[in-house]
Amino acid sequence: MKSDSQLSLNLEGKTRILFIGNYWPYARGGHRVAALADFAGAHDVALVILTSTLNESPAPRERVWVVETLFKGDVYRFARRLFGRGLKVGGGLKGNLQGGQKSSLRSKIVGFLFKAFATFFEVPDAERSWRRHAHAAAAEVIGSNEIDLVVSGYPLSAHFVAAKIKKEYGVPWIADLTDLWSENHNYPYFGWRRPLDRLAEINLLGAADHVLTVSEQLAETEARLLPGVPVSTVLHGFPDELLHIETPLASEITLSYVGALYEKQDGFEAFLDGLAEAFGDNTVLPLRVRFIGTSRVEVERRLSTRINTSDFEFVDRMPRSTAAAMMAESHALLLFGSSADSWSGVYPSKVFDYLGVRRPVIYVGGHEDDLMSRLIAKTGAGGHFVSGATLASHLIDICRDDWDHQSGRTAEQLESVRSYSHGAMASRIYSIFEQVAGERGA
Amino acid sequence: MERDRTVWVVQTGEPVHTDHGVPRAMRGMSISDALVRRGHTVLFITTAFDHAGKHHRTRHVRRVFLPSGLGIMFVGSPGYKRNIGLGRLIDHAVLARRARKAVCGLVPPHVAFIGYPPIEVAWTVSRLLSRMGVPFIIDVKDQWPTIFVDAMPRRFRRIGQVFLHPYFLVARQALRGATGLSAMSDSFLDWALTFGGRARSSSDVVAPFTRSITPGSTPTVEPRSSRSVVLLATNIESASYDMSGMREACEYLSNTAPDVEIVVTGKTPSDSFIDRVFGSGNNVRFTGMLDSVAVASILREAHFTLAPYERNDAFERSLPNKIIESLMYGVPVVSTLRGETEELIVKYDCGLVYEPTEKTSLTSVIEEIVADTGCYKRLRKGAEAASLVFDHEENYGRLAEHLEGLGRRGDFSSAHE
Repeated sequence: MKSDSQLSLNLEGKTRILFIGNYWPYARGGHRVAALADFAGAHDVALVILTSTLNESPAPRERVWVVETLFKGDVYRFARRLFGRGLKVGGGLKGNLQGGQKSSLRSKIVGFLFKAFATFFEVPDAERSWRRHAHAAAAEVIGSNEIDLVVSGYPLSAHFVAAKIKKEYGVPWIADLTDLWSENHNYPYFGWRRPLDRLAEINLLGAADHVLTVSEQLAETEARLLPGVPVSTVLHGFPDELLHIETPLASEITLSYVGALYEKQDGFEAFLDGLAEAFGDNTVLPLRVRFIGTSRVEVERRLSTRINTSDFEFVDRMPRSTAAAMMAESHALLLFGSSADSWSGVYPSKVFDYLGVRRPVIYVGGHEDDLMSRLIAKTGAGGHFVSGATLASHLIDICRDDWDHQSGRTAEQLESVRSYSHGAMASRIYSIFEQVAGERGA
Repeated sequence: MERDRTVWVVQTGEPVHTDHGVPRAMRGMSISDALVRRGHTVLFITTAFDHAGKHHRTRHVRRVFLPSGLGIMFVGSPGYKRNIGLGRLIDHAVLARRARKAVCGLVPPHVAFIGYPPIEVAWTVSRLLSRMGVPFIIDVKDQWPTIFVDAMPRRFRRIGQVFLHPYFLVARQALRGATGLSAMSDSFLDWALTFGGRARSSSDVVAPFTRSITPGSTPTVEPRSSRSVVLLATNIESASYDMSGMREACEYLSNTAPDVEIVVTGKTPSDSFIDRVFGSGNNVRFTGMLDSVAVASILREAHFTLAPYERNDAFERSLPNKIIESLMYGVPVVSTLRGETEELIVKYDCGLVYEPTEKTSLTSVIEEIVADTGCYKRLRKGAEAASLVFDHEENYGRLAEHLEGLGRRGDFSSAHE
């Protein structure tokens, strides 16, 4: 396809990769791309990241070029303009409109309307209008530069763009699914849409040269859907710099939770029960529960009447380094599981950050011996409490400063933590990339 | 200004880092690179439309960030086919509006460097920065809109002035509102200050148009003779050049010094132009458009360069970048220009000035250089001495330092809180 564009990037590297997908943490997306950017130079890779709107200018990285395309906004941009005025900060459009308690009628109606809108208009995702610009920009990049491999990430539209680029230019393509598509554990649409998404997924990803995902279980699910397409597992990881953070503990006993809180994470309710069991109903807690980058509205909607929330602290999104320091000063880090079967093969990416800062992890909810439980046991990272009742006594121990799981940690366990660093993850991923890119040349 | 500050460089109509080949760095690229080298975060705001090539660099990319940390923002506009025409006027008006919209939502910089022309972009962006309390320099590279009026036949100039009055208004407003002005020479800066109705201050600065020396390598354009006379141009047919006397000079060389070749760079002219200006053209070679590496290789092999510019106020107040480029490679210059160029040539004895109104003047000057080796050696020595004055790194380092000083003095803390 001829283009009169001129975007000559002077790519230097043994392998030249075009990553199509949002560049986290500068745009909403998968975290994996940050690790790829951090280690591109070390692997002699020229990495071009083609992303939609960035919230801030990205930090420079060796051998990384960032191409930000035009993008008018997702399918909710009109609603944001309409409802934007008067909404509370930090709640997100849906959370703010739901307001009140989770069980309220208003909350249920708004939730239903959002789900209906999403089912019909988020096709394939909320950022669908990005496809046109992403495809044209990718064509401009490929028209002016030699590219050995295309990788697609978040959002789903990125995979559509990559598939088209592969068809037009014959460049090998790897689809990186950090969340599955039709088999997503957090599938947000009405159930009748799932078979349609499944069909689209089979047709589209069936043309990929390789698919990556983030757990063995998810890889098996995907492999069943896409026979003939190699599927590999590369777990999430944590930024290597977390291993070097040394921060004194906060003066007040602090338990921190990082990131989004999803509906199906009923481990949160178990945690609240545990607090009430340990310290009594509506008493002032002898510790601080801190939410970093979590929607306050979402948390407050789910609070039971047993908990006095004045001891909850909410911290808005912040630079990674500040969030890391807050994690590192916490006495323990909270992980909320889910009893839903669809969550059984999932590692939330935050658990790896928790491993990296080497603070004790309190995993609440989920199932006995599930993925999270096994990971925590393998690395000696903390404890798993399926219910609030089992958690209560340990919360009391923490407040007495009696619980020090670190003393039981073996050298092997501590070493296993390193295997989940971004550096280790990037090595695994880049070797897959080079193999697929090399197969094209062969 | 401390290191690692944010600087906006607003320059349109110039090459950018992502252009094909090895783009010939002009003001925008040079100051951006100097600031990045000094540890600052730079956003180079430019057009998606490539003025030189008359095509769009991109239609779907908003910004590109290079591994060095330099960010390049492409502002879209309709584009135009001709340098002079309604299309260009419309393009600049649209560009100005979109440039303002594009930068409106960004975190304000600590200091900015804005190119002028075009007038409209300089005006809209400078107004926005003034409101934000951000100090900025306006870099005056041409005498717009005055030169448009000067180019008109005398009897139409008054009407021209009336029609162009809005441009005069906004141009003066932009220059008046700047923290400081910069220009390529003292007399050009004087013109800008007078036009903008402001007195010279310590915020103003002179910075010639130097270019980095492209590292030596195997010549990419082989010289065909032992002595070449190079005429650096983008488009030799443009009104910027006065080719009077060229035909006579070509004939002279053809008859008396057949080993001397005239090499003309840039867009190859039409056959009728070649015939009218260069005559039979046996000793003239046209290279087409060249990138930095090719130009460098030609200059390294050049005997001397020709700079036959139109004698007008703008050129005579300035030091055209092609003259500076020639001297940077230690190559003597033969030019028509009086003013700043003649002063430089006389000061360093690095070339000769000829009279374009006399048909044989160019021939006489060339004869002097070609026939008298003593004269040539003297001019060569002078050109090499002049090259030390135009050290690119030092020149742009000084300009960057000047911007840093501006940032220190400016009260822009509120823009970042």
